[in-house]
Amino acid sequence: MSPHPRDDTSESPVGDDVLVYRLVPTHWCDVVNGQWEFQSAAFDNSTPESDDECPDDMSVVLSDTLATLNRTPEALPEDTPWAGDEYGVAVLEVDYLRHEEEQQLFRTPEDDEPAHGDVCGKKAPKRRKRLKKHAQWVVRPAADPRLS
Amino acid sequence: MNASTVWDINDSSSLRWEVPYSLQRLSSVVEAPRAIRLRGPLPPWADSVVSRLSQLQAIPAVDPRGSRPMNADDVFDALDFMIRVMREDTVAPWIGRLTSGGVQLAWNVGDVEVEAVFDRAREDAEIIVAVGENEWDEPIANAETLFATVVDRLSTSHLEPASA
Repeated sequence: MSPHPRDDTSESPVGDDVLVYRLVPTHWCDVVNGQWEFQSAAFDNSTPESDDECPDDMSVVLSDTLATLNRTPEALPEDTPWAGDEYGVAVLEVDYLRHEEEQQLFRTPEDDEPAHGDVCGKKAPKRRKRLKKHAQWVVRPAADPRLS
Repeated sequence: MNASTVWDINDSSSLRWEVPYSLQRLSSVVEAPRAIRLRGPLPPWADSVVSRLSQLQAIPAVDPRGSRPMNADDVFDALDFMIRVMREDTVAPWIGRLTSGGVQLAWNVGDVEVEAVFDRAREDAEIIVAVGENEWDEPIANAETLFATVVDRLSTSHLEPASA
């Protein structure tokens, strides 16, 4: 895990106007009317192997850093070493996450993704369902849904 | 039963699904092969459910930042739930694997949405039913009554024919 402070008081806090991009694999999508549609499970926190790591983080990419790097969210599946055609990109608003869903946002740059961030906070089933309702596709997975 | 545990859900055998699991036991991870044996007569949705569970089981990690293997107990709870509440003509649910090893089921038919979560690691076991803008939830232990309110509308007869 990239360590981050337990409060949102870093020198460069994530502003309410920032968007966060979530890489969503096809195994968290259903096929509806021939198209990939993400399900609530797509907005689950990661479960780290070590008890020392935060169990309440959901990995995202921050729009402001991405723009500074002259990169686009549409290219994230291609730009991300472990992603590819099986991944789409969903977008959520920081303003909503922070003020409606009691989440904290952190900048947690990683070697393979300098625009990486974490959405930190409990995400019980009903909250994941609300995140699904709030989120929208930027780009669906390129993988053919007919082959799922 | 030797190294394997087999859950018999019905009486006569017509389908068998066995996979090894890593089972979390207290603070240590114990490798223990377990198996789920479904016995017929099986409902029409069973094949797709078993196929999807096997597909999910084969994914090495559902989240590159960290995830656990599928929890056999959660899989069993989900199967037990489906057998208790679904009818022969109920649409097979979408099934997803949570990073904790838990299992999520989801139905979306018309304006009816149902989600059921089986996640022992996080102590989450609940069903959420939404019809239009109205939403209800119950612990899984009390799910039958809530699911019964929408089961007619989750029938395969309510599915629109696939477009050409």
